[in-house]
Amino acid sequence: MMRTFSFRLQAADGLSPAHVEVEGRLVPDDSEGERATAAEQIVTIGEHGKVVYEQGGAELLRRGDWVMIKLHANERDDAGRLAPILGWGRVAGGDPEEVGHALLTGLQQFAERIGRTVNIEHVAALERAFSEEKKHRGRKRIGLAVVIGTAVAAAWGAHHTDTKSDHAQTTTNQADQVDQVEQ
Amino acid sequence: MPVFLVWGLWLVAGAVAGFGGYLVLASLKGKRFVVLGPSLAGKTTLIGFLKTGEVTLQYEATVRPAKLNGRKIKLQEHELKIDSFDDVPGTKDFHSAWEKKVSAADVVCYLFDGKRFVDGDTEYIDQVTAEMRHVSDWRRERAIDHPALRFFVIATHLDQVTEYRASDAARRRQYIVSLWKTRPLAKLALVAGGAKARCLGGSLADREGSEALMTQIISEVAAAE
Repeated sequence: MMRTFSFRLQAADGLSPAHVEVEGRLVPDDSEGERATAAEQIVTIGEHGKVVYEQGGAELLRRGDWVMIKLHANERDDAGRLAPILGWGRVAGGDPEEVGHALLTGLQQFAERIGRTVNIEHVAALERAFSEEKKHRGRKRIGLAVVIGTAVAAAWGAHHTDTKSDHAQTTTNQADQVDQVEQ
Repeated sequence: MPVFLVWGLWLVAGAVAGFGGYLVLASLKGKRFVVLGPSLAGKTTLIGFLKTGEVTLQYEATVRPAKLNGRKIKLQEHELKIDSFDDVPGTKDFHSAWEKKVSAADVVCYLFDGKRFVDGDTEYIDQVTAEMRHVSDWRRERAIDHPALRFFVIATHLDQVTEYRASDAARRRQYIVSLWKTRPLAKLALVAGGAKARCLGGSLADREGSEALMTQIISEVAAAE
């Protein structure tokens, strides 16, 4: 499935416009509308999303159909601070491992395009986080299937038992009636 | 007499024209404190101090909004209970997020690097002054519905200014008053709203400086209640 992700890295000097990529192209400095839209998406996911994974600066967040990752560039900003790169996008369903691979690949390509490299340990950690999500979803599906199966079996069993007891009750009633007639 | 204050601390990162980061504190006795300012003004350092009681060097730029759990802290005679912190990134593209925070604030604090003003860094001075026009507009709009809104403009990093660093507490206060009379800062104060803005200065480089600055703000807000 073709997916488009967006990416963002704050400018090293903290003054210039951030590097932003949307739908595979770098957003010009004066495209305020596109930048504002990207920022709104970041705020929405960041403020209301759930942090699924967080370790040493690498993060994976989910909010509904939206996914966001954060990892560090190897290059620091002009003040010597670690400079995180964000990658995010809308992914309705889909295999978490495939989504993660596409997102991480896109982010690394974005980093390369703007002359940065990414912390490879963060990439590996996030790949594992997406794999864990996949396993977790698999376990949830199995668990759900077991719960549904158990419920169906229990319902069927109960129905079957009720039918048998109804039948037994009917037979008893008929025998009683016969007894009464004979009496 | 100790004052027990309940805060919901709200941190927003933001700035105009490509600046990064602003932070907000929220609610003193249910009031919301918004902390704004350009990148490297000390917003995250301030939040870190309020969160841990310690001053730590900021090691990572704020790039996405984050919600942090609050805690109880003691600032001289004030005991604060901070409900939570929201940290939102800066730069012009995040303006709508900061504007929303200001539109719900009771106290707005704007931090900037005072050392760069002292050094005459014209690019920085112009950017901060331009940013202040936006912040001042939001403050004015907010004040229509909320006349009691307090607005603090704070020059940080003064520990890097020799005259400030070499002075005792009394002389530092005098230095800050005289600093705000110098041309670029006097203009900034005017853009901020003149008498509507309370202009302060100090340092967040250590616990003592951070505590002094926050205590001054808290005391003034608490006294106005």
